[in-house]
Amino acid sequence: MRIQVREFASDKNPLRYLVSVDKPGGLQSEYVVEFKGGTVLIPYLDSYYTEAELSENTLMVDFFDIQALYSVSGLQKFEQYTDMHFDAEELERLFVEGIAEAILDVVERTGATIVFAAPYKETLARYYHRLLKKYAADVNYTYREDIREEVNFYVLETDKR
Amino acid sequence: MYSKPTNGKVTRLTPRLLTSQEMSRNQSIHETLKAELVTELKQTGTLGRKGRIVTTSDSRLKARLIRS
Repeated sequence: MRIQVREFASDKNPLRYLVSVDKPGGLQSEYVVEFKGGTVLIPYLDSYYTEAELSENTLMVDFFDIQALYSVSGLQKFEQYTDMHFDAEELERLFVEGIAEAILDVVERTGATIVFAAPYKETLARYYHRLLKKYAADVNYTYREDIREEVNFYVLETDKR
Repeated sequence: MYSKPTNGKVTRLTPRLLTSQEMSRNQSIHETLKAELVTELKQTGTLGRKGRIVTTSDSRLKARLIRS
């Protein structure tokens, strides 16, 4: 399985990335990794950080299957959805070598001190928890488990803090 | 499930479940971002311009595929 991460800036968001995945048999998928910053983030974590840090040095991250976005938009990109049949190891590679790679890069570009995610599915939340516990310290990031426990946001303090 | 207390603190080993309010809040955040992307896609016909390749052979993180 081949994973490639590249910048995917638009006029509306210069902090956007594209994760492309190729598997044997011609299976391909692409994911938009979206980072959002600014004052809109203040209410979510104002019990833990200053308004200045939240508005100036914090990014929220989420990701989307690009085919689903095209489908919802009514535009056609592909004939149909591609079921990538990820096994557990491939899924972990997608998150670590794809989405986490985008996080590391955006932190280097922006100097962000906090990155957080807001998973809306229990399975995704548990998966984030497992990966953050497993990998955050490897890159000198701090996973704030106490914040997850209290408000269920998944917060990383980066090595820029 | 909880870990043994250390320094007076007890740490939960598995995350507590999302409350319905938290799930609704997080779903709203996700759907708002998704709606913004779909609007941008409808307006411009694209979501971005392929730029610099970030993936490098000396990545700071490599998946450690031994199950843990």
